[in-house]
Amino acid sequence: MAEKQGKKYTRKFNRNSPGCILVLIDQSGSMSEPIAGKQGKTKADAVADAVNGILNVAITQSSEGVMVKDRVYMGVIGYGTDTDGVDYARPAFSDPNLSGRNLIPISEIENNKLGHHEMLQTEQSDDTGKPEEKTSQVPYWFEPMAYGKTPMCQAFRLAYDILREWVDDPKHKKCFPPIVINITDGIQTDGTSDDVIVAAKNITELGTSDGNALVYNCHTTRNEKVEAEQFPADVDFKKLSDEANSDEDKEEAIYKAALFESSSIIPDTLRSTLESRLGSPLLPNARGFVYNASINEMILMVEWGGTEPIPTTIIDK
Amino acid sequence: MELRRREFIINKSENSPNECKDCYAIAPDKSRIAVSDGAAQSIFTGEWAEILTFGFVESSPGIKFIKPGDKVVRDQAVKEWLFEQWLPALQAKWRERVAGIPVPYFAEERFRRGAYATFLGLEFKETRSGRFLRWQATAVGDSMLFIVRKDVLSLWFPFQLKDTGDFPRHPALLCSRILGNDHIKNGEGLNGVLIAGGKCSPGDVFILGTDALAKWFLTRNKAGDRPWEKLCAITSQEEFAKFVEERRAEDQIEDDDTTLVIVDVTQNSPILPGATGAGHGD
Repeated sequence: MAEKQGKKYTRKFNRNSPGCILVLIDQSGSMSEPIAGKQGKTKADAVADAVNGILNVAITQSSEGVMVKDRVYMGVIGYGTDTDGVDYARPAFSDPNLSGRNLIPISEIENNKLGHHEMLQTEQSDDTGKPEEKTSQVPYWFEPMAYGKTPMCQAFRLAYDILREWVDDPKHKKCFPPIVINITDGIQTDGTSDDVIVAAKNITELGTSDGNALVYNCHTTRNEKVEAEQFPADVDFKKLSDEANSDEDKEEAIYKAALFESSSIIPDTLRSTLESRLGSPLLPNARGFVYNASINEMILMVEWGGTEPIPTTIIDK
Repeated sequence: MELRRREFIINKSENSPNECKDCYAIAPDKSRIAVSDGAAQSIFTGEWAEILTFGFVESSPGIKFIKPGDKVVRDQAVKEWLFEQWLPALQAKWRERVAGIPVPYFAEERFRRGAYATFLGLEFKETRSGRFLRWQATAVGDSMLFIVRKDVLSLWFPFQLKDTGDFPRHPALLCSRILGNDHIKNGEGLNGVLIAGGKCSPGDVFILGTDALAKWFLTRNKAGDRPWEKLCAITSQEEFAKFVEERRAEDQIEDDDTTLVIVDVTQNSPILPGATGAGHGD
């Protein structure tokens, strides 16, 4: 539309102007700790679930009918420490067809799954409304993994290099800008909080004609007292510190604040989609930051090739 | 009065023509015309749009014509007919059509929910005397009808849609699954079934379009242009494709499947038989 000219973050993800999503996953030793509110689950489990979940959402959003279309190129960067003690940040897919690659068309990711988890679901029947039990196949690409330190700055710098190449490609000049989703417990070991913030801000300097790159962070925690939180507009650092029982919890509060600071403010053009998905308004200047909460909304707020036809009220029927 | 029609369809640029989810159908005598825009993110949607449009033109819909002068009715009988008779028969056709087609895991949930599509049906009927022609339109969602009379935009329908072209993010849609239509059956205004009708005059131009074209039409009209002039000047599919592609490049028309059907009412004999017209993007 004519009046939309000048607005940013309006491009749809489609085959002609694909999106680019880079997921950074913390594979450090601390990720083997239990996660708050989920019995028997470690942070590493939560990360594997989160990244598999994002890939599945991207596949569904890229599909039309029975086909997956390359509406998005995705990469997954793992960061941690090798068994010989060396920090790494590198492409994390283990499937031989995907390993070592930075950004991969979504149809190739769909074609190269590690396996399927079977899930028993009770569904309302198509036309009669009667409940029926059904086994669904839910594919996965990542299994939980946790070892060593948290070289998050290194991961953000690698993301910068990968995405600079992406935005420099003339084919992507008009595309929706790249999205980085960092999933971590937030305690980086290769720099200060400020280093993390700077490394993330550098990424947001990259961009296309449709806007600057977005950095979203998903923070997992073992702190039972902290409630799940999505898209806050500020982090009350003082309250967090006061409520912390130990030095460790205090430290975590510092990193939470740093991750919040390095998260992009959700662009106005994406707000309404997100608000309708969440069913509640966002605060002004809400950021792409979640704390022990679902991160699928982070990619669902973008417009994909075909807009979702079914309002939530009907999905829930 | 005689009806003359032209119709064009183009797929969104990321797709090939056979992936188009818009569909139109026109009865041989041109007395019934339907347009439907399938929601891309449901499955077997093109099939559903085709079944809906053909279902409307092939079997006499039997919707009672509203009295001249009434702009809209919320007639319970119409709803009952639509949802108790017309739609279930078409839903059965859809089930039959897609039965046995393998559905991959990522589309299972969508298949369970069914296909979704807008619907716009336009009917023409002579008055008892045979001297006048009346029209009636039935709509679910944001596919639109424009009537141009004496070179002025005399009506757009559904008239609840904003003249800024700022349409609801989730238009009302008809679902190929029985349970998916309760909200439309009980919905009001843009969330339900809308009906409008009136009398035709010689020289009237009826323009039917799916949302991408409708939004462009409304915004250009609001800007003081006469968008129907450009549309009425289109005489071939090639010209239509060029027209849409140029406007897509300028961000004036959204890159979406786009359908245009134009019906001219001319001062001639009553409705005459003509060729069946139907399109599905190729």
